[in-house]
Amino acid sequence: MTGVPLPEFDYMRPLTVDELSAILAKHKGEARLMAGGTDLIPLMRESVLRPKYVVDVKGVKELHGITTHDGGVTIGAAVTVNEIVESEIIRKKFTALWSAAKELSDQTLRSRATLAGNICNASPAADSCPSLLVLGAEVEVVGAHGKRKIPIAEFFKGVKRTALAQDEFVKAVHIPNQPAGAKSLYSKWKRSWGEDVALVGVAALVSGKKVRVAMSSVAPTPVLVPEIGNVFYGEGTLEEKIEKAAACVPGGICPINDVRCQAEYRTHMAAVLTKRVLRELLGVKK
Amino acid sequence: MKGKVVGKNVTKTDALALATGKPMYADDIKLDGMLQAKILYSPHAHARIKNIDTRKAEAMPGVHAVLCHKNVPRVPHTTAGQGWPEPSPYDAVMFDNKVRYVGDRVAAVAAETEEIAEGALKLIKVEYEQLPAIFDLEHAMDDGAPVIHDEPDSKYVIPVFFDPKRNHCAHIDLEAGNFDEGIKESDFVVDHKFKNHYGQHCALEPHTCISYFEPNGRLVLRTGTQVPFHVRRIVAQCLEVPERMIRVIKPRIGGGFGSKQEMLIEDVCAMLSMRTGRPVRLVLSREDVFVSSRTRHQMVIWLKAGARKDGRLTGINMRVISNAGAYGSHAMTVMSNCCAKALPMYKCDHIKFVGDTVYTNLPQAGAYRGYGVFEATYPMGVAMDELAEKVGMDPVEFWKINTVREGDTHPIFEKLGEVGKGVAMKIESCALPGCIEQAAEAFGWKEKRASYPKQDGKIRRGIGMVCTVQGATVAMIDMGAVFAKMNDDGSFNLLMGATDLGTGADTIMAQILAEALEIPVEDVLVYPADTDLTPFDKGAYASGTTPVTGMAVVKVAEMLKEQIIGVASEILGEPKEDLFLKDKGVESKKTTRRVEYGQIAKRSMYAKNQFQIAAIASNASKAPPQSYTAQFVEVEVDTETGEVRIPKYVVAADCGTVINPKLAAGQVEGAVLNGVSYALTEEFIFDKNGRVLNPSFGHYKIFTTQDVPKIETIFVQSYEPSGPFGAKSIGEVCINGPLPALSNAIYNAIGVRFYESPFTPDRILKALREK
Repeated sequence: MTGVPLPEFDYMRPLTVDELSAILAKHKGEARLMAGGTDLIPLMRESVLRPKYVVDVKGVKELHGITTHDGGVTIGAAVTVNEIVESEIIRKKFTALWSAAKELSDQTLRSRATLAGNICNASPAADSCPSLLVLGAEVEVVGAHGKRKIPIAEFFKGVKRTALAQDEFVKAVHIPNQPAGAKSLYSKWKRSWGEDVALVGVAALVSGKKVRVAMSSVAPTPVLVPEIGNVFYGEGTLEEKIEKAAACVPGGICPINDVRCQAEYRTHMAAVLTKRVLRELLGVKK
Repeated sequence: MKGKVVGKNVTKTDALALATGKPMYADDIKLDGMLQAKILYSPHAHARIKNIDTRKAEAMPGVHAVLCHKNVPRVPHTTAGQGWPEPSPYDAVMFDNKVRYVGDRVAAVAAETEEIAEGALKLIKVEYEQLPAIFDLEHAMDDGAPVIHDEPDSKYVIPVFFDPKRNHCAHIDLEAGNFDEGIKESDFVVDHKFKNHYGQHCALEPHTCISYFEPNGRLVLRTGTQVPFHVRRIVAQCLEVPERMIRVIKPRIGGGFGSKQEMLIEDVCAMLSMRTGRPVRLVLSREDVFVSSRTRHQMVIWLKAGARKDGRLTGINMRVISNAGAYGSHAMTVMSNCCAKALPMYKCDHIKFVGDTVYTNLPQAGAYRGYGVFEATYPMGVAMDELAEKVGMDPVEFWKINTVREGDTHPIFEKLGEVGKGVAMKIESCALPGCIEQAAEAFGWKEKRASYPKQDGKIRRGIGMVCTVQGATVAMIDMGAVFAKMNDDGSFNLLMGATDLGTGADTIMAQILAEALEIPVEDVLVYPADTDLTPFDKGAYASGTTPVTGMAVVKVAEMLKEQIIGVASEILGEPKEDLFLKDKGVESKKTTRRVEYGQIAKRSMYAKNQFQIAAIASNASKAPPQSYTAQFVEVEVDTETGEVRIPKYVVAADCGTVINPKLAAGQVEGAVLNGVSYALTEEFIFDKNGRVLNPSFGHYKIFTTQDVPKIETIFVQSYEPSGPFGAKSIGEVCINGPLPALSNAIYNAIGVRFYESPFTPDRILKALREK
């Protein structure tokens, strides 16, 4: 697309949450929020999106920063993925998110891309989403009619569709503290060893008998596979349970054939990655 | 051979300017009044244009010209950038009243902006009459198959087979020795059908042309091409103007790999300038590059080969069907090279070859690094591995006894060249046995071979090897010329038509001249590839620049040397025989007196017996000197996921004298990555109507620098008398290895042979399940 100019738009850069709220309330469908712009700009270049107003959220101070508190950690909507990669607390306590951030696109893109942008783009292949699902994240949303918190599991409504109303925006993502001893991890399957969109992504969280597994690129939205959780309350050795967990995968997902991968291989790999991630977290060698 | 400059890692002449983003590529200039061009492509695989209405597009404000078959001359030509007369059929016209694949040209627009041009394309109303299409190369010649080139004016301009009524674009058959007799002596025979897949070159710079008129009315084409002189000739042909009206300038190029050995967009760009009198810029989008430029030839190859108990090859029978796609650019020559340039590595007296190239309603194939040798090395490399196993011989031994040595000749050399009959040739330089030994040693072949059969677990290691060859130049056709002159300070301008497409050819030529004239390399000012200012060169293809143009540089240096010594003799008052070049000066053997180049230049320009010290030299290829490699690869196949990882890749290459080790190693590593990427991930995905579904880097995955396996490169030098300071070529020979080497290594790891590419994880998994 060398030299193809972006369609014309007005650029706005509010400095406060209130200002941002007011802009959205006024322009609604004609405005698009931009954090890193790594999804928005290519879509505009391809004329898939033609917003009249591009509203840059990076000027809003309240959207910056990763803050820890008694309840967990709060990641502002303008926080870049590289900031997450560099965060000690996220690496140690919320490893699934950290490992997903590390796998998201490449170093250059990560310095612009944001976590909030990744969830708002609502791609079925979004790397951060399975991790947020297993960690039980909440999305803090601000709109013309006030604030609300949306559990991440209710945030995704379909391919590129979210629960956000036209006047709403994501202020932050909260990740609650996990029980002591909880461990989590994300694993991504790609066509190359460098940068690629996930063919399948699997995140898991293990905390005592509680096991949660979520996946990307296997359904219209990132999905939890709740059946897997039940397996670990049942009988059997860990290895047997892991095998049973993997057997739950095909029933919990509905992947498609596309130019990157066949559904059959996606299903297979979702099960393989589930086993691998669970073995790693449960310390089962094979 | 090691010299003062030859054999040294001289920095590329353009490195600093390119690295600092100086405006050096075709698209880096903006001209006043420059229009933007866009092309309308066919949505159908095969259709007749019943009517095309461009009136609305023409009436759109900002639109300056619309081209389609109704308003341009119909001049059958080939887009293949080859020597004249071209060995490819004249089956293309600028715009036709028929489209032959999804992505074929229908019309073009020049407008004030790209947006207006895009908008105008949407206003062009085309009424198509859809025709049945054929996509399967194995059925293209069937009775009743739709005829893709039913126009009466397609033809070859050389006397070769052509039967477009049967979609039969090219045919070659020959036999050296007697295959049927030879194969009877076999104790072991392999006989398989192989198939490789559609792939694209993926040069980072898309096809780019800017055309404009000089004040004197001549048309300049600033274009990213491998073949500036062929482009001038073919554009002149298409526009029906004399060649003298056109000047082609080749700026720096962001990679070609064969996709730019074409007159691909220049005719349209030039015609739009002619119609509007304005500068016109035409740059293909990445999607256009994938769909509407050129691809690798997809081939089906049946290979039957045999060996005796002692491991000697008895016979090779290769039957090729090559898919040209919709037009026959390079159709015959790529197929011809499956035999002409691939088989003369194998010591075998009985070789039979039958090749057919067919038209289908798929994207156009063309030249692509490896050029037929790549496609044929896949079956040959796998068959060699399989025969070695049947004979019970270590593949290293098997390859060694069945490949050529220095001093050998080969029956194929005379029987077939890239174009028609070949030339008899004795192999003057061959370090292949050394390549095999040194690569095996560095790889740890023996140890790995001993330990790998005893494996269990999910990850299986495996090893594989192949040898590769690439004959350089199109013998008896290719020519390159260079002009050099001396400046006041004893530096030299080197003007040449040779086309550095990012490979470093300019630097190599500077090194050769510097070595021959005893000067530092920075004293050579290379000016490449401008049809007005530089002498003719065939262009960058057939691994030809170092052997062909490099030798022209050696010749020009000899001529300059004679003139320099002549002047020095006058200054020193000593006979020429006593004088020799040293450190940018001339010294006397007898008296040790010395005169500097600067003095010589100034005298010749300003003082006595004045003349410009300058020379022009030409070099034509008489034979195709062969470069060789031995390639060893180790794989880890994950039997749970089908993933293939490459922990180690060793290449030992014989490219004669290595002029610049770092640039040569870059060619080796680049070619290996190129080949590995093709083997493991790249492929075109078509829908049932022949549309490419994945024309983007997001969907057509190529390996990047992050995916480079650990490659160890060893140069085993030979000395090629026909090349500059003994040098041969290195651009293509390495890409021929990865496909068969990986197939062999995967077999070694999991016991499944892949006769069809690519080797993607899902296919490997499927094969494991079916095992």
